[in-house]
Amino acid sequence: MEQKLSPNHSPDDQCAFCQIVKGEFESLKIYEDDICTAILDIKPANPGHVLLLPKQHFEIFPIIPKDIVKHLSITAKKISHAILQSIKASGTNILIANGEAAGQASNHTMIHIIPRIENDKINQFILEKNQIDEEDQSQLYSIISQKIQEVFNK
Amino acid sequence: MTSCPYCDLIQNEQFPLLYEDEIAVAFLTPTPHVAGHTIVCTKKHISILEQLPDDIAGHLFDLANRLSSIIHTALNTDGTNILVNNGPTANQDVPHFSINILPRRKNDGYKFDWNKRELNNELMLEIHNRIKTQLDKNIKNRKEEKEENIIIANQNKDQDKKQNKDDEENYLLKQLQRVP
Repeated sequence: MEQKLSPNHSPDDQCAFCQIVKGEFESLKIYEDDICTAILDIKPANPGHVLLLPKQHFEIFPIIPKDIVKHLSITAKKISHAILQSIKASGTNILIANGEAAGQASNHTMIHIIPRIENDKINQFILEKNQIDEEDQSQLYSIISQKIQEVFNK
Repeated sequence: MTSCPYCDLIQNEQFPLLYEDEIAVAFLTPTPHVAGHTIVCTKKHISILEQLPDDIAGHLFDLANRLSSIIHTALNTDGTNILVNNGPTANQDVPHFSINILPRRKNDGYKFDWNKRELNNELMLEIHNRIKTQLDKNIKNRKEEKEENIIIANQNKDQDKKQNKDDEENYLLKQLQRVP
């Protein structure tokens, strides 16, 4: 899966985000602990757009160990809350992109936390509702649930 | 029937679930944005991210993460997105907190190509200061709250111990009084 999803393969020492985490590149850090670092995106979708990075270099989210995933989620929640309390924002989007096709822009995986305000012209998170053929949905259900059974019953 | 479509779906078992445990469920949404669009949410009605207890937040994201990998393999996708729309302004359309798993294909026409804005230094620093200060404050308050709770718990323990000791003494006295 790694091979297929990674947008580009650059060794850790060339990873800009690893350098940011190590303090070798400047950044506007809003949070840091042993496991993760959170910085402001310098080309944000909206003011207060935060990038939450695991300190360890992982290319995609599914390969991150469970306890780090949990820590990152709890930290994202805390950051979202602080954003809502401290700047002009009435909602937040939390986004993870696995693979170039999903919009992954860097091979150091991260969580985007994006503040939203009314009429901010960001329309990429509108999840249009589409109709789907019952048969097609049924088929998808079979394929996915079978795989879930396989994995969870190992 | 509740006023929440996801609560209804879960309670009425409207269609089969992809996954279920004590806390959470996962299902294919009947109105998918893309084929295979999966929802992960709590069984209990919780509206927004801020209302989720930490351990439940961790549980849900870990589950969504694992399922995204399984869905990627099952459907041979080119990628996946994990997306939370937190609040109506963030395009949350169902009032039940949920994590969206979106299977992606190259050229499926869906892009996260928001306008990358240029903000001046002053504004960036202002925002940096505000968010960081708030976050530090919240973390400090939680820490103090936790410590306070530990102190109260210890005090209660001591009180219980004392009560037990008193009870024991009374019992012994009563025993002595019985001796002829």
